[in-house]
Order: sequence, then structure tokens, then C-alpha cells
Amino acid sequence: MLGAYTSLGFGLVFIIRKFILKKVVETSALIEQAKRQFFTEYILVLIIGLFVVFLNYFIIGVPLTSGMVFFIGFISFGFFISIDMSLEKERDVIKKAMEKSQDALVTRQFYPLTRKFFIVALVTNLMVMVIIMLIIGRDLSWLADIDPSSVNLMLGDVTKTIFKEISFIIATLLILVINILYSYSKNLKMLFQTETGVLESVTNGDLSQLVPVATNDEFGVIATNTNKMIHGLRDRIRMLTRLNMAKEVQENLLPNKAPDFKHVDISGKSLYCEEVGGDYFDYFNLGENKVGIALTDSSGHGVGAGLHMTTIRAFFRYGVQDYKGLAPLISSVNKHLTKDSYETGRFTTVFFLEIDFETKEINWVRAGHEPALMYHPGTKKMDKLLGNGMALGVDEDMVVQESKIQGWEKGTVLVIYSDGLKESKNPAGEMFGEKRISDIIEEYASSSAQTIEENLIKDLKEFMQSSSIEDDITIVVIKFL
Amino acid sequence: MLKFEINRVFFSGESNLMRILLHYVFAALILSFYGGEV
Repeated sequence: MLGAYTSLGFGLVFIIRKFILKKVVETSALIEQAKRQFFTEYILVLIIGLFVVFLNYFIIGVPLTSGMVFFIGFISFGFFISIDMSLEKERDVIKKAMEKSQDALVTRQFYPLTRKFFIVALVTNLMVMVIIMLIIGRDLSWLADIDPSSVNLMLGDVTKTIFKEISFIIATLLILVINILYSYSKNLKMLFQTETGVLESVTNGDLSQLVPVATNDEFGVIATNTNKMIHGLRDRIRMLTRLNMAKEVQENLLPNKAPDFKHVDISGKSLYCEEVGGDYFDYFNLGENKVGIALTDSSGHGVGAGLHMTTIRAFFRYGVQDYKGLAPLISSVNKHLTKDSYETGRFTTVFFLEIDFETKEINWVRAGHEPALMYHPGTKKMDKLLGNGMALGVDEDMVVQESKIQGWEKGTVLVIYSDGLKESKNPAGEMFGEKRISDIIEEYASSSAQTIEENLIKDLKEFMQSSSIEDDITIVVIKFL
Repeated sequence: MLKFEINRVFFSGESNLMRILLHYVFAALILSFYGGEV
């Protein structure tokens, strides 16, 4: 009868189980489903236990104390069935999360694996102990009821019976524990495979996949952090792509080859420390016999300085269309720039040179910029084109001062550069400095403007060795023919 | 028709149904035996 009631209980629950699980488990979030499966399965088995115990009590009249001992069997079996079905659900969840590329977040309040292991081990041991104690207790009370004269005759049978019962309990529990270990190892394998698989893809540059966040334990935390890293990498790559596009645009804003002026050979180059930079140089035809050469350096570097640089370029390009002289041009650019950038705190140093081939005059404005270097091949002397002036973008009413020299000899070399060149450092922290720049100009003075410029950059790179550029560098070399 | 209905209700889209069936059968057998003992 007991077997029939037990089978009836399990049969009934088997029929309704699917509908209960659909309501309780399937409707919850993926990450919660394994936990819900565990509790639902456990409660169902306990209900079967209570059903059988009460059926035995009311129909057969089995005392409730015996029924409670029987119920312990349901507690034990329920525990193992629930864990196994919960692990099975976890596998389902992992598969579903993989299909959906599930990207949930596991917070700091996750359920650690160590706690799960501890609870399973503790409960398993307690169950083994309780069941064995119950069996031994029952056998001892049975022995107590035996006629003392026949105890010696029966001891052999009793030992055999106890040994058989304990072996049976241990074998049953062993099967259940092995099943759980096997089931859990399958889950671990799946979790490791998904994590390492995605990490391998990331290593190969494929950021399209995310790790499914399917468990609320350390694996969930690792998956969450891996996904955060992948999102971060995606953002960085998106940003780099945009910066490279900005770089391409900015490269087109600088003159890509020297203009074809009659009496001068010119070469210029900018090296930016980031994708985009704040340095700018340009050449302007200011009339039949006049050329203008500008080099500007906006404070800071990167995107902000790059945007500033494009503004300055627009002001200069627009200003030279109605060129009335150096000072009016720089004043006008300064006025516009101060209005635009005063609030930002950004400023721009400028060296603007005007060469008049008819009068053989060189006029310049030095607004907070490095002085240009002028090498005279006849005397082998190096002059500095100095002059007073504040950086642009600071004072709207700044008075612009022009400086002037008259005449030049053939082969004179004039180099305008931004402070990034002079201040570049080698691994020892030593600066490239003005002395080295002067020496290179002197050494290559007889060569073309491009050769001088290329050698300045080559020597700078040799000097810097493994150090990276920390500020934008721009060089414009003008050689008088 | 009946076979189809049984399949639809119990086995469609749920891989763990056979697993729980095995668990229940095993549990019913062992518990019946154990219950008889206690």
C-alpha cells in the first residue's frame, strides 16, 4: 500500500508539475529561474511526502511518528531531485542566454559558489547521519524486544541486516551525489566554454559576442565584467574610428605640399601627439610679391585643441582675402578668437611671417610664440626673430606689434617651430632644446627646405628613442633662393 | 491523436521531463522500500 500511495503522489505531481513550473519559473527573469526551479521542485516533493504520510495515517492507520521518519526520506530525496533539476534548468538558461546574447548585470550581492558547496556538503552529511541514526535506532529497539536467551543466536543475522541497510542507504546517496557532481561538472564546462570562447573572440578582434550572464554567482560576476570590458572596447573602437576620421579631415586642412613661390623654398610638417592636434601652419599668397607663412599652437592637445585649430584656420583664411597688413589681420583674428574662446580658457600662440620680395622686407608678428630661427650662411650666424606680443584669445583689445628686418642673403634659412619640438624629451628626461635645432639647421643649411625639415624630425626621433611625443610638433622651414 | 496530445503536453519543448520522470520513479521505488523498513 505504501508503494502505491508513494507512486500515486509522484504520479499526480508529475502531471501538474509542468503547469506549476510554467507559472512560477518560466515567467521569472532568466537569472532567477534556476533558483526558483530548486524551491518549486523541493516544495512539490515535500507535498508528495505529506500527502503519503497523511494517507497512511488516515487510511492504514500508520502512526504519525513513523510517518515523520518516512517524511525524512522525502526531505532527502527532494533535496537531491531539486538540485539536479535546478542544475538542468541552469543549463537551459545558459543556452537561452547564449541565443539571446543575454547581457544582464550581476550585482555585488551575488550568491557565492563557496556558499553553495558548503550548504550542499553540510546537508548531504546531515542527511546521511540522520538516516543512519534512524536505522540504527530502529534496529536497537528491535534488538531490545528480542528474547534475551536467543540474542546470541541472532547476532549474526542482526549484523548482516544492519550492514545491508547501511550499504543500501550509502549506495542510494552515492548515486544521488554522483549524479549531482556529474550534472554540476556539465554546467561548469558550459560556463567555462562560453567565457573562454568569448574571450578568444575578443583576443582575435571580434567584439560582436557577449558572455551570457546566466548565473548569480562568481561566473555571473566574471561574465558581467567581461561584458562591461567588451562594451568599453566597443566604445573605444567607435571613438578611435571617429578620431581617425577627424584626423583625415584635419590632415586635409594642412598644406600637403610646399607652394610654388619664386624666391623661396618652403617645407612644413606637423606631428600630433594624439589623433588630432592643435598645431596649424599655412601659406598665403598675399599679393604679387608677398607671401605669408603662419604657424599657430593652440593650448593643450587632442580634440579640443584640434577644434580650436580649425577655428583659427577659418579666421586666417577669411582674413587674408582682404589683407591690409600684418597687424590688422592678427588683430582681427584675435578679436574673433577671444569672443569664441575666452570662456574656455584656451589661447593660441602665433608666429606670422610676411615676406615681401619686392622691397626685400621680412615682417612678422610673434604672439606668445617661440621665436623663429634665422641662419645666415655667409656669417654662419644664427639669429632669433623676437618681438613682443601676447597669445591670441586672451585680450580682445590687444595691441599687435610688428617687427621687421630688411634684406637677406641667398641661402638664408628661416625655421619657425612650435614649442613641442624644443621641449620633447628623451627617456632620461632631457629636452631636445634650441641648441640641437640650431646645430641641425647649420649642418643641413646648404640642402633644400624639405631636407632640413626631414632631418630635424629624424634627429628628434633618434634623440627621443622610446619616448612618445607629449605635445604637438610643427616645423616650417623657409629657404631663400 | 492521444499520442500527439501526450507528446504536446508532457514532452514538447522540455528536455528535463524524462529526467524528472526517472527521478520520481527512482525515488518512489527507494522510498517504498525504505518506508517499509521504517
